[in-house]
Amino acid sequence: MLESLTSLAYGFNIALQPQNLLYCFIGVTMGTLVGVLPGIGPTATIALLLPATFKLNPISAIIMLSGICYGAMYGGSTTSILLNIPGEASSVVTCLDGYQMARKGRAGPALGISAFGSFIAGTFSIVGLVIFAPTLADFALKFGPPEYFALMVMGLSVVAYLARKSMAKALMMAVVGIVLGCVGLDPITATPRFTFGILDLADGIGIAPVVMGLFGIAEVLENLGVLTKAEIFAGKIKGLFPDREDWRRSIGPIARGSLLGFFLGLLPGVGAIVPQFLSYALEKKLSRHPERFGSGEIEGVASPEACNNAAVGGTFIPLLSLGIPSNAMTAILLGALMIYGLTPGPLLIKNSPDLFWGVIASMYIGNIMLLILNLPLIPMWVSVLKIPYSYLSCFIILFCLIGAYSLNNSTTDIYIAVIFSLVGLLMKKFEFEGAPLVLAFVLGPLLETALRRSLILSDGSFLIFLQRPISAAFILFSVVVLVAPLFGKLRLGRGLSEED
Amino acid sequence: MTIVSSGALFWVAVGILVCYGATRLGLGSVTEPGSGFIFFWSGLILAILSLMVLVESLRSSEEIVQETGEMNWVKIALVLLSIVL
Repeated sequence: MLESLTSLAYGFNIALQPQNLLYCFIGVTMGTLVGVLPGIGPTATIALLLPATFKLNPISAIIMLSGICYGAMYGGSTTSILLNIPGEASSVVTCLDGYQMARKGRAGPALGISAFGSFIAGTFSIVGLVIFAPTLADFALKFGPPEYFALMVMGLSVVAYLARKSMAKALMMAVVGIVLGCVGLDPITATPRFTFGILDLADGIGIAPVVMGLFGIAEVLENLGVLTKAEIFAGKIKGLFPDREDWRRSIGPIARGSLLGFFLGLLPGVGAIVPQFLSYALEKKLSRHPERFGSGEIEGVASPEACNNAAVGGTFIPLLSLGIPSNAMTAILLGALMIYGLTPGPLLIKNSPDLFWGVIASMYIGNIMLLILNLPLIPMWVSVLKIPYSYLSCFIILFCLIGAYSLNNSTTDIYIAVIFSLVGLLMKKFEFEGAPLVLAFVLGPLLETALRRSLILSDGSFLIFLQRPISAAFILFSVVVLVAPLFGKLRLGRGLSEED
Repeated sequence: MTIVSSGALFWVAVGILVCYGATRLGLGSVTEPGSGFIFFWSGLILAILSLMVLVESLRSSEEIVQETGEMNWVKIALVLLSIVL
């Protein structure tokens, strides 16, 4: 524990360097901005900024990119409360009570409590990160290829299980992701696979163009058809500080939301969206007046907002200590780490402590910056929403294309981005989800190597996954998760989509 | 033939094609998996899953896809075209 504290102090040393402070600031500001803008999410933004970070040192780059992750969680709530439009998928629930509060003239306290709740939860999850990540990494040193394979299978199964629509479709997308991820040279024998003679594909399909297409351009294209004019909450926002009564009612939900979000975020495959729904449902169950939820209860704002922030911290744990991303957002961060030449995995903390502790310390600082950015500057963020979507969409497409191109300076990547934007559009239309695809896309090569290594290790016996206790537990869990929905209505995701 | 089932058929075809491509790459043996090993199994799983979706969509007579707002395909095509050119 004491060791962690000295390391953390060392981390602050790194994070407080002017350059890193600057990138942290850029990251959280960008995060808030895309959080506020409904058209573009943190996943696409990280992919977008990825090429811009190659000239930086990896620490500053990861500090900035993770700033976007948690910054977006703050920004998303602003649009949810003021416009009833979730800026991000992870602040859908905040709309329910947040917008009602705004209509009752209590927009100020709603925004205030969501910012403070986010701050408390964010800080809490960073403390959790400091405590758990190194321990988990030590534990994970025992992992061999079979354990990794089983863990990744579990992550993908959980993503499919939590799919909002059809689980079979989510699994299909995961498998497609694995196939796409493995395109390129065979890691063991170096034979080109599914490259169709295109030289650029030998390196594999890049994560940046795929994400840019699926999450960036596809989103714009979808909105081209349906132009919605956002009605901006006109009233003056006053009294951002929640009064004592608000605090009394919110402190419990914030604490519960933080705990729930953090521990669910730990599980691979969960991400920040589902915990938020669960925390809202939990508060509703615990409340003495469940019927009042949906009409502007402050608990309904505090808990989900705390929850999605805590979940972001939670998702960083498997990413930094195991090298396993748990949602599309961390999947890209993993891709980024690999591009910088760092090997994500249990040795990351030991081999590059400056990165690990520097990033964690920057998250503390970033959360404070966000609190300052979000409370007094809310009118500024709201005015951002007044930019007509037609201008905005041009910029989004332009930046996506620049981002896709500049990674390798190759036009093939632009075509890939365009193709995937069409794929993404069709996927949205037919209710396929993008998250399993991206996650599997990043995990694909790791999955393949782990599988092949374990089979070589076991002399071709698939039993190796069941003979080792840790991997057996992971496999068992994935089987339960995949089979459970066949019996009875044990589908969490579907229940969620019915609730809203 | 609904639009959903034709979509599922498409993915069955993709799955089978991936399997075929994988066999050409060489599956290797279980003791020493080859280049096409993971592609083969992924393709197979994909084909099976899409068959499941296909059967499901054929069994329920009603169209499952909800209208998610009319899309402006002309605009979309124009934008994509202008990017590629």
